[in-house]
Amino acid sequence: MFQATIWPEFFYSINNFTAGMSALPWLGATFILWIIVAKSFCYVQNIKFKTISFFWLPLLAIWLAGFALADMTAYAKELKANQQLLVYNSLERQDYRVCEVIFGGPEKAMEACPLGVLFEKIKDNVGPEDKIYIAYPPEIFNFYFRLRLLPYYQLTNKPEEAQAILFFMPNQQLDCSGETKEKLICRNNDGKIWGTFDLVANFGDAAGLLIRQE
Amino acid sequence: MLSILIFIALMLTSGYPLLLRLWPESDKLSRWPLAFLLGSSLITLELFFWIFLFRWPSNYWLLLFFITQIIVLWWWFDCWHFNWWVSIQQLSTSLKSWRRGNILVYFLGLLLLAQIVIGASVAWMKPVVHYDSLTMWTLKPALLLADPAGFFDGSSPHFQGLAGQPNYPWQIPLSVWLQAKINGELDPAYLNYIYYAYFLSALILIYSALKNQGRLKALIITNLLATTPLFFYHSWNAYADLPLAVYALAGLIAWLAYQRGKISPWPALIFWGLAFWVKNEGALFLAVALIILAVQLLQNGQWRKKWQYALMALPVLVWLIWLKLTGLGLAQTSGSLGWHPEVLMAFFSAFWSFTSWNILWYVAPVFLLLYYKEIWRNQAWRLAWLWWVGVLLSFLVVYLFTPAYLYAVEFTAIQRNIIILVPVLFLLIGLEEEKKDE
Repeated sequence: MFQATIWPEFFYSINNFTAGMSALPWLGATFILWIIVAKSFCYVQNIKFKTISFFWLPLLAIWLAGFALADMTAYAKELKANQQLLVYNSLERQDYRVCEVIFGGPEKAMEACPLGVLFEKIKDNVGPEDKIYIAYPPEIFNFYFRLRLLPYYQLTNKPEEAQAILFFMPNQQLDCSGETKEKLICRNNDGKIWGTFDLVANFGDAAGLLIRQE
Repeated sequence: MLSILIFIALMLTSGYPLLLRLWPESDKLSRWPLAFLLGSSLITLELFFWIFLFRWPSNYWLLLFFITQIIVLWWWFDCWHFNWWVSIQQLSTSLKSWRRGNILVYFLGLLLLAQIVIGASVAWMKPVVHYDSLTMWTLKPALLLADPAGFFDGSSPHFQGLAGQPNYPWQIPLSVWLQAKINGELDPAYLNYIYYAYFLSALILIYSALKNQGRLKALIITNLLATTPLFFYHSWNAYADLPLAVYALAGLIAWLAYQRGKISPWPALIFWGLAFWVKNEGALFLAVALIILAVQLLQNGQWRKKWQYALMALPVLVWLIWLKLTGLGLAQTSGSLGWHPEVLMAFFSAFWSFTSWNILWYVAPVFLLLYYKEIWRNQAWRLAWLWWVGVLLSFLVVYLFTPAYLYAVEFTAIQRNIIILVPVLFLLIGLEEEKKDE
């Protein structure tokens, strides 16, 4: 199925990266105007239209103006973010960058990225023999959790056999509810309870890590 | 970092003897990227046979196989005369020649170097985080590494990487898989450098293809390519579109050499023919080239003697048969053929998205208006443009008539398709003084 809902988030991040490009139509028009002037000048003066002088060097100047207007700001932001992330390992940097997509910008992501805490909780509560069920719909986070956890944990497609569930509320795949948000009881279609879970870590407002009660 | 260097060395040493056999006249500088492309295709095709068809385990025998293959290839194609010392001296002489450059040449060299360094740093600081990479290009090898049994078990959720486009070809996922194997684990910090290697390949190829027209001009065009926003963005975002673009570029450089009567069409057909293994749409490169070649040979009355060029289509057909046999199919979306005119507006507007192309799409029409007569008179140049236009129209036809139109109207894939044609376009624009060679 085509997942149109995911892409706006994605393009948002790309647009952020290249913000400030609105001056470029003017630069394009400047280049065209320059070519008309240069060609006319060469025709009137009966001199050769030298491509390096009349085409490539003016193009380079206008191109670099566009590059400076648009990309230099983005580069500065990138380099600043990179400088702050140097102390982290590659997985932590990856978590932070995924948080950028969630929060729509680097500043908030740096302050409030919950993924590190989430994966620490998994490490504390899930052993190598235990299985994890990812109850997210097939969106970017489902894929991200899958990719992130695959090398270290066993994943399962059967929630009944899972020790831990990455869950978000409300969830169309699982019927889990409780009197408090911290303790959830999960039932199957005929109402039979198949698991009782503690919410041990929050991921955003409505999602978190569920660990099966002993 | 050692693992990525070993990975690239493996690709280079496997591809180099093949390149010398296939295209001995190739420019010395361009041999590095061309060998990398050939090596990548060879190694990943072999891995596909090893893992998918024979289901052999990936143990020391696999390593031994690759090492033996390199030795045999170098011996068989008599590459041992490659003199590293002479090569280093040539490089040193080449670097010394930069002393004669003017201030503009130095400026452009520094600008290019800065862009290359920034690309490398962003590749390091942005591990795999983008959508197609998370859901497909990196997830598939991750599944193959973590659950090799489930990967070939039809009842497993990991079957054939079902999570992400299982009918996409395997060059990129198997490259990631191999790099992870060499590294000992799938570390996202290193994976972007596979794509970055293709980015460097594109820069080297375009510079070496244009350097005979003067260092200044070659540097200008290489800088324009390196600073094209969406192209640069793809140097580290772990998508397959930039690698595909490099195959298109390598094919076109060989195609120009063929049209000038310097070599046979085989190198061009092989680079374009291997592109299908990066992404399915790469098959269009070869299809368009074979149509142009067929018309050319029919006009010359040489078709009966040279029909064997069509054999390059066989690997693509084998891949299509594999997709059919495994039930994976070719389409990414469900639905039937139809007419989707709304694609035209999306297609057109994708070219004018300033967030992606700087002023490239202002330059291209102006250039065509300035030089259409020269292009028409010069056969090599004309047929290269014809190939470019043919591939562009092929993309348009696919979007207009197939369920893939969704990717166009939602702007999810259309700009990435345009990336494929950008390095080739820079080369075609850069050839404006080609007529002097005639």
